[in-house]
Amino acid sequence: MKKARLFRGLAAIVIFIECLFLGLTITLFQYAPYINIALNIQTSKLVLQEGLEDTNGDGKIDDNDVDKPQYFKSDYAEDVNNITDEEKAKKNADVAAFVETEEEEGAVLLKNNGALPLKANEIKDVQLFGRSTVIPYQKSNSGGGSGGTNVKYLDALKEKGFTYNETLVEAYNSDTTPSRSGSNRTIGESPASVYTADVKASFKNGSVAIVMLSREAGESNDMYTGLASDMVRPDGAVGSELALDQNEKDMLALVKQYKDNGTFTKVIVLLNTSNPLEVNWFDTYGVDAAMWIGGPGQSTGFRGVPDLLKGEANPSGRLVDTYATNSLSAPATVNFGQFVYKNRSEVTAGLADNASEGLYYVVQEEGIYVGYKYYETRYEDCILNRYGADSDVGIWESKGGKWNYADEVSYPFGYGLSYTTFTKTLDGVKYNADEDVYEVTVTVKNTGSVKGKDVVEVYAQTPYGEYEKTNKVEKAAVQLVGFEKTKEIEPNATETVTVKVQRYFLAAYDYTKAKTYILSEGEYFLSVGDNAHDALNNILAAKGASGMTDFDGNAVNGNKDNVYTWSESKLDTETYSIPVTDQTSTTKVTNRLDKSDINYYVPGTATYLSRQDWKNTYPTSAVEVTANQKLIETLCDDGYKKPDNAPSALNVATGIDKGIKLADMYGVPYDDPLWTDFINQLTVSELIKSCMDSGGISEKESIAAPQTSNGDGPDGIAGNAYVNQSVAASTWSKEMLAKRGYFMGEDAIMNHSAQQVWCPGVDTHRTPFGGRNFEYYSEDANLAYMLGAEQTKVMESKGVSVGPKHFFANDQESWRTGISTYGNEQGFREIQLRAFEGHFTKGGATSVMTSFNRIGPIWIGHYSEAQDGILRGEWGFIGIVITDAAGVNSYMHSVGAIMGGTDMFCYTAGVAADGRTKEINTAIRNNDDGYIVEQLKEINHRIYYTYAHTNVMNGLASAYDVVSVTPWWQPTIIVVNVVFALGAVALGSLFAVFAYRKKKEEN
Amino acid sequence: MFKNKTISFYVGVGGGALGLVTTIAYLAYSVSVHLFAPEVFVFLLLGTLSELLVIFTNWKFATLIPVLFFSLAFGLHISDRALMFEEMFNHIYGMQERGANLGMVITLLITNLVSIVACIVASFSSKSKEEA
Repeated sequence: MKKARLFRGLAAIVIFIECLFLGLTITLFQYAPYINIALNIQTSKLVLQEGLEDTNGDGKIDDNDVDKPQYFKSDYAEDVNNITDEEKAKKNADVAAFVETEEEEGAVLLKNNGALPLKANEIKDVQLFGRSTVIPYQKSNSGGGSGGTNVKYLDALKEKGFTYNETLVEAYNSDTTPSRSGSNRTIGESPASVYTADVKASFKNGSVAIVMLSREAGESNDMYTGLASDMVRPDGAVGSELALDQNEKDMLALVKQYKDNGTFTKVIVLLNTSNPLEVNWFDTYGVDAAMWIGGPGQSTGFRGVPDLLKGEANPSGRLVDTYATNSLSAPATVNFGQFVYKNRSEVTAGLADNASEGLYYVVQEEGIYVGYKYYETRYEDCILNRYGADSDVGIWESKGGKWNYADEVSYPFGYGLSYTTFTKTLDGVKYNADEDVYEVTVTVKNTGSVKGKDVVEVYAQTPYGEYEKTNKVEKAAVQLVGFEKTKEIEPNATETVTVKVQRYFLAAYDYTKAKTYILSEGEYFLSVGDNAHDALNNILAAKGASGMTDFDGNAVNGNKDNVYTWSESKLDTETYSIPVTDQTSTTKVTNRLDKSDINYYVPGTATYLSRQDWKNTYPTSAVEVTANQKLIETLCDDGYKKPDNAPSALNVATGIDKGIKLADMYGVPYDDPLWTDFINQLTVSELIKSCMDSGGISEKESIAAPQTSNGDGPDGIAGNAYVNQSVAASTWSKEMLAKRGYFMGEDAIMNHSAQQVWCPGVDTHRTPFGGRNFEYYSEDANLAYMLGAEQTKVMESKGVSVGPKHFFANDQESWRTGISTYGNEQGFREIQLRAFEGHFTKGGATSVMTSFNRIGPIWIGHYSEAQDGILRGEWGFIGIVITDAAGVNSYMHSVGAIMGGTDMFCYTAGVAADGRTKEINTAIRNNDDGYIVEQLKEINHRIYYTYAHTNVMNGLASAYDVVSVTPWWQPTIIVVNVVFALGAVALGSLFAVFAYRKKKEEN
Repeated sequence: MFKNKTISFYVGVGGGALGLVTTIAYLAYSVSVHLFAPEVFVFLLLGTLSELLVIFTNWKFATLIPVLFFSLAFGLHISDRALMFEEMFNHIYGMQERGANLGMVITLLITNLVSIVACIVASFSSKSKEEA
């Protein structure tokens, strides 16, 4: 009997193992596409079709008889269809060198009293302060940006000849207190207790102290503002996460103490963060020089930092965000975070979807006044003593009860120092009617002693008159309209630069009267300045104003010679009511986002910031919204009702084989009738399958289309990592962004992957607290517009379908899934949408990833007016609209999405794909809705037209058929399951045999 | 019914009782966060009920039945929570799913596992001391 019980027990163990394995098997099959990606397994392969001829006469028919196309060539590979390891290694080495340069050009020198660059003797025995020394910030948590060489801060210093106090480094390594965490949102600086007597004794006399401070947020995690209850820091500390932490203050005080006693000769601060820290303490702690280095990425970016410190690279980056003295002073901040409808229970009861995906909202009461557009505009109105600009509202740091720019701003947008100095002279401005641009010519002279690069920044001020005030058309006092980075200029040498300024940038969106873009009547200014504030002072000088100050509060006069002015005699509501990309278009640029304004549903709820009344419109508290029935119904709308004239699904042509392969479609124009025949070959089932992304879409044998690969991330898409996108933007270099696009394109070609990519990140640094500001360009939309266009253009030319993300107004991570983002159309058009616009209209992007959030109460994926109206209609976009990861979110309705302009659901495999397929199938079958089938055909047209112009076409010849391949791990895992199951049965049988034999014996 | 039984028998019964607690806790928790997986609940419940077979019958295979059902519940629960684990591991929980409580899920898996181990232990032993 003992033997019998042993077999039963063993059978029980094997049953458990098998059940556990079964659960894992289901999971693995569920996420099979991602397993395949991880294992680098292709689920389709090319096989030679039958009936081929022996074209090369070698007596056999094989791949050598096929002319494999190389539509997208690599500069590193002789044959992109047969890339060697050596060719890849050469490319990767060039990428590594480029990333180092990105960091060197992107870092921004904020302060320098001559302490930098360090001399040769000063790089020995440096004292490295700050726990980031051993846990440097590279990038925040998000997709992409990995692979290749990964150099940390200390490694980079060593490589470049620095030596440092190992005792101090070891003290940080030994610190066991919680370290910095983006997800837990902790700062993680070491406490003062790490600086023991031994550590202090190790501080070498006459050495340089380099303090590195970091912050980290990330996907799903904004930084804490400390304002609302959900935004309070978990460690109980008061204030925002961007203010100095007590541990940091203690450390800085210690450093200052040792500087004051002569131990340290210099104090250098490195800001290793993508979110701007509050930095009004440089003087307090005796800081000699400070440099923002951002997130150097998980690659070789850190190598650029010692080069900058030593002066082997001269800083030329410029700020892409305003450094406010107090980060809470931005008017958007009070409406940033988590806000729930006041009548929460009514909304919950009314919501058909998961309540948490509809309960939250944010109201962008600041309108266009994001970042410097707020600070500079208020400054101008203070100088001109108008509109109540100097009132006490919105004061955070100003003294004396009056708002004061110099108190509120530490460093302005566009600011950045160099190891040399430059002068800029405006030579002239010419309007080029053919291109509809102003050509601004500027001569830059290097007046210092070392070579370096400068940035020519051109800002505009447009009229803010009675029409604008009456019709709520807001105007920033300055806005960036053009820029160019110079080449390296030798001391005393000059370079003349021509900056092209699109006249379109001078138009403002009038959402109340003209309901389109207008060119105002009145006086226009184009100003060249070192930064936004400098440019505005020049404009004020041209206006004859007085009392101007620089950002430190020092009196300045401005330079009116660097300003060009002219007048428009009448209001123009026509020119830009037609899409700029197609003057023959019948599409009108007009209001399409009325339903995104909370006042549309509940009038009087939001008061948008207006410069004509600072005191009464500056947002001082979060908007409270009580949802009415109209709003709740819109929140619940699944986005589609079958139209009366929908054809029968049976009458829509599908599954008609014409023998056309994807290989035949390269270069076929979008409106060529051949596309109709090509798409008609697909069955309804296949049409739906194309909509389901799982890191690419699956193969289709019927049209000989192989599986595709979609890649993610703004800082790297296919095997290499680059600096954070905000650092790339801080280069203010179109050339550098084009190179970034070039190398990412090369990565994709040489990996034969990433045909569609979800990058760049284009949302707005609406506040400094955004969790993903690191992978978005800037607080300024036009900067994103111009830089993004450069990167996109080059990537597209390399056979990558660029998909800027997350379209649009995904400017916070808090409750991003389903949050209703309310705002007025001028704000959306000129801030959030403008940033994306250039990627399509100038860069030619052929994909776009939409966002999780709703625009107003309507999820963007259902919002046809935005996707079909603005994106496709006004901007002329042809390509794939893919959602953000759409697996199981209940408010992302499948049918509503595809009928509302969505083409593809991101990361939708297994059960999620089955669910969506069923939803779409049911809508077709149950309602006999041929309209949906027609839409699916158009979606497939867009999808395959797009892929037909990517690197997936390299090597794809008509001579090949595509066949599906079962990945090796799937049968293996099934066999293992069967073995365990048989094992359990066998052991159970043995138990039965022994148990019943014994019983028989006993009987 | 409980007379002259082996310790292993009581261990198995304890596993079944814990299975009942797990079943109820799973139901209450998963419904409250809108993440109810019927297959997990059904197998937990069947595991608990099948322990009655062990208690009330002398069928020699009976001890294997709760092992089977509890194990299926365990495997399928892990499968059901895979997305949650993935998002939590990547610190992006809330992207495709929200509401889950990691601590609660792990607690349920652990109590489920304890039930399985208890039932396995019972499978190695006789029900009554006479049989032993």
